[in-house]
Amino acid sequence: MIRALWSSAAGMKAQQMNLDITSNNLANVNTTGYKKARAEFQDLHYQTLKQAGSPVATGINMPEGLQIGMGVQTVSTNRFFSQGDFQHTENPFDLVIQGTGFFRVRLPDGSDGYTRDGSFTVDATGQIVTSDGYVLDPGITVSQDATNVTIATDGKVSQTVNNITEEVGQINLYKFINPAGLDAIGRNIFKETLASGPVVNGTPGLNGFGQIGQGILEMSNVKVADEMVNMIVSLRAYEANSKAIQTADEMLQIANATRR
Amino acid sequence: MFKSCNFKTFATFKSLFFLSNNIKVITFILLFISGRKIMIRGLYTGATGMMMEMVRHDIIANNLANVNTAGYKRDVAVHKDFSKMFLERLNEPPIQISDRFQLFRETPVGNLGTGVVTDAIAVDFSSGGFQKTDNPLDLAINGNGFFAIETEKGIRYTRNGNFTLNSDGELSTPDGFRVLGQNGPIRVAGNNVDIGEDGVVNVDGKVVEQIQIIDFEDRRVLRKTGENLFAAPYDAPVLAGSGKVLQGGLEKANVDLAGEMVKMITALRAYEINQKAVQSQDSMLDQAINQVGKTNA
Repeated sequence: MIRALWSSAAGMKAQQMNLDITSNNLANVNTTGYKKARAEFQDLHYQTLKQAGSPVATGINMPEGLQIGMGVQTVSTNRFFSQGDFQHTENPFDLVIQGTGFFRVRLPDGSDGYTRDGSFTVDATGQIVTSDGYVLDPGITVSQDATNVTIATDGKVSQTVNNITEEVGQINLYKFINPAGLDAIGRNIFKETLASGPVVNGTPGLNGFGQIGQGILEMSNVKVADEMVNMIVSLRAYEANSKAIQTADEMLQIANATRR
Repeated sequence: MFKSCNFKTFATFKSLFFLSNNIKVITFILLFISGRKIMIRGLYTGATGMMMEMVRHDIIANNLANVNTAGYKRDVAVHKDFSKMFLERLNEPPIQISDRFQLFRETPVGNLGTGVVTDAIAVDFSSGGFQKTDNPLDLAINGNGFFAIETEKGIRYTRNGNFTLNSDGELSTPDGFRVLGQNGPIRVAGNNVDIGEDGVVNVDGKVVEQIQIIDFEDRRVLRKTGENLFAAPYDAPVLAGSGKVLQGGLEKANVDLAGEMVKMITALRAYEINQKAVQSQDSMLDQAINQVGKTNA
């Protein structure tokens, strides 16, 4: 009996976590460069009361065992790096990666962060920074007198000062063999982990890296309808598990009422 | 002194009188007190029913907990009746066969069941629904077969295709166990992963590997080990799975919510009925012990 109570409690917790992740996806539906996550579930361990295949008589084995499951666990949150929709902004520092890759930024603690959020801007010194002020790495400084800044699909940044166009830098892209293994630290920033594999550096448009688009932002890849359906499913599953707890409780009550 | 002695004698006499008058009842009481055979048997039978319904509910609860677990296969409890006992009526009057021979016999009364026990828990391997996810590494098997997974304890099998990549770019489960192809782990390093119905993995247009789909002659040998994995005995006869690989989708659990709910109600009510049976046995015992056996009512 206690088994059923704990299994159902595990089920409720798992569905709660499912809803947590769904709500976070929905909360970030308008976050630039956000990549949706999904909770992955697994059945928990089994209590084996009878082993399948154990002999019951000479030459006869148990065809099926007696195993009682102990509920469910959330094993991971899988993040999907599929392309989000594009939004045209006409802002010269809004960049999009069309395909695979991340921009690299220098975090305040000196470590590297990776992001798909291309809503860059320039700081007081003319450096290209994220909206949080993290400097794009390798750093690119644009002149204050520049009338026009062009970023080509291969990441070359040029500025026009006094009708003279000159190249001021190159935006590189970075990729990982397993981007789902990156560590999300918030603010649209990911960090390298052992699971993501080592970072691979490249030029936009070459060797499988995506191209850079200027004046466009990548929206989140959250599909509202999918998340809504997911929400309904987790709610109903939560409800079913709560009913199982109620039933288990009622059974215990009946057992206690046996002795009057 | 004499008076009290006289009273004692009188009481003994009275109880003896009572005994002789109620000799049948007394025999009856002695019978069930002596062997726990007559009345208590029903108590145990009712209790086995309650215990069995408990196990049934444990299994339903686990099925419900895994209603959103991809590739989960529901469990079904299989019950059997506990060993029956054959009852015979003793002390029947002998049959007179001839003047000289009498046949002493024990008339068969019939079988008496002694309860129920959970015999096995079978896994229902029927297919669950498919959910489209559009994630290229989400795979489902349409039809028979399992993915082969390399774990630290040996090869395990799963229907859950929510795969990801490890740091070496190899197809693996969320736990980090590698998915096996015909020639070992499957390295998927590239931008476009295309997996065909036959499990052939194309990365950027180049064939890399074919995913192993394995089936068993008798799936009942499979044992659940948790983490969506099944273990098979090393000598289990293996077949090539006939199922087709679907990319961009997951197989949902084959738990039918409404069905489980109905089973839950049935289990609860059956539990209640068995409790009532135990209770009425209890009140019968109560009658026998506290009412019938009352000597100076």
